[in-house]
Amino acid sequence: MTSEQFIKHVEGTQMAFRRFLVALCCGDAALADDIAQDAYIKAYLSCKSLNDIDKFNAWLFKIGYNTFISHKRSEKAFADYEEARNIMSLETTDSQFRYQELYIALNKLPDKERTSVLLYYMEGYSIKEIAELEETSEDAVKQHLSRGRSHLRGLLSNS
Amino acid sequence: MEDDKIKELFTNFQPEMSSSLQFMAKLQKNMERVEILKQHSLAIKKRNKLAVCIAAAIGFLMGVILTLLFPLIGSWVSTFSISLPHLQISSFTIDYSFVGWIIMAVTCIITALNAYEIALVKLTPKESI
Repeated sequence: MTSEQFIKHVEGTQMAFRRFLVALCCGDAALADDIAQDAYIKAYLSCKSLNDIDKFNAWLFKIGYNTFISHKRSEKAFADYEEARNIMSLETTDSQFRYQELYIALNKLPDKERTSVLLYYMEGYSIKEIAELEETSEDAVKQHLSRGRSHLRGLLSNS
Repeated sequence: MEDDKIKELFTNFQPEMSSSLQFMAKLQKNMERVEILKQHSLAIKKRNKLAVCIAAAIGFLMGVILTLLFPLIGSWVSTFSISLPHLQISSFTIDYSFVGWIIMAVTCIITALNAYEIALVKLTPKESI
């Protein structure tokens, strides 16, 4: 894959990818953009190893997910939830405010559940694809989805 | 909340993000930086390889020259031991040929290492020093 082909692919997919990352980062668009940039650079550096261009999206989402996980691991102490909520309330625009309850609910889900729910409902990936992407079994993904769903139901119906 | 509602919630999810143009411009800038770094590290690898080749060639050449000169070195050592009889070098029963080979090997290694260092300095562009 040449750099021109890579850019062409990125232009076509970046909105969906960034949207997924914004949800994964619970509304932190700046962090999502940083992770997206990191993930694209990692993808660019290893795009020669990608044989099947049709799998570009799934491959990219996998890199994005791994980048997000390593970012979370490197950040030992995440900002306190309430603090984040306060910042969000002060600085958010109407559009972000619209999703504030969703972000709060997503923030309460464990990473694996959140990722499975987002990939399944937002990006339309199958359970098998999610299992490959998260490097886990299909049963584990089904469990994440079921738990994530019930958690979301509980959290969003309370609000 | 039902399954369809969750699906609907995420399907209609349109968060506020920075513009695509801005994002792509930043990405292209980062990719250019990556290219520069890649070229730089490639040049360093090439330079190191060349320096190793030069050092190996010079070390080999030195080895050949010293091997050819070995009989002369042997005669020079024996002349030296005869001219200094009071030191009684021969009474130690030193194997001069073995010592000679050791000296040759050490000389070759030192020459090769020096050649490597000099080659690296000479091959490095002046701006990056």
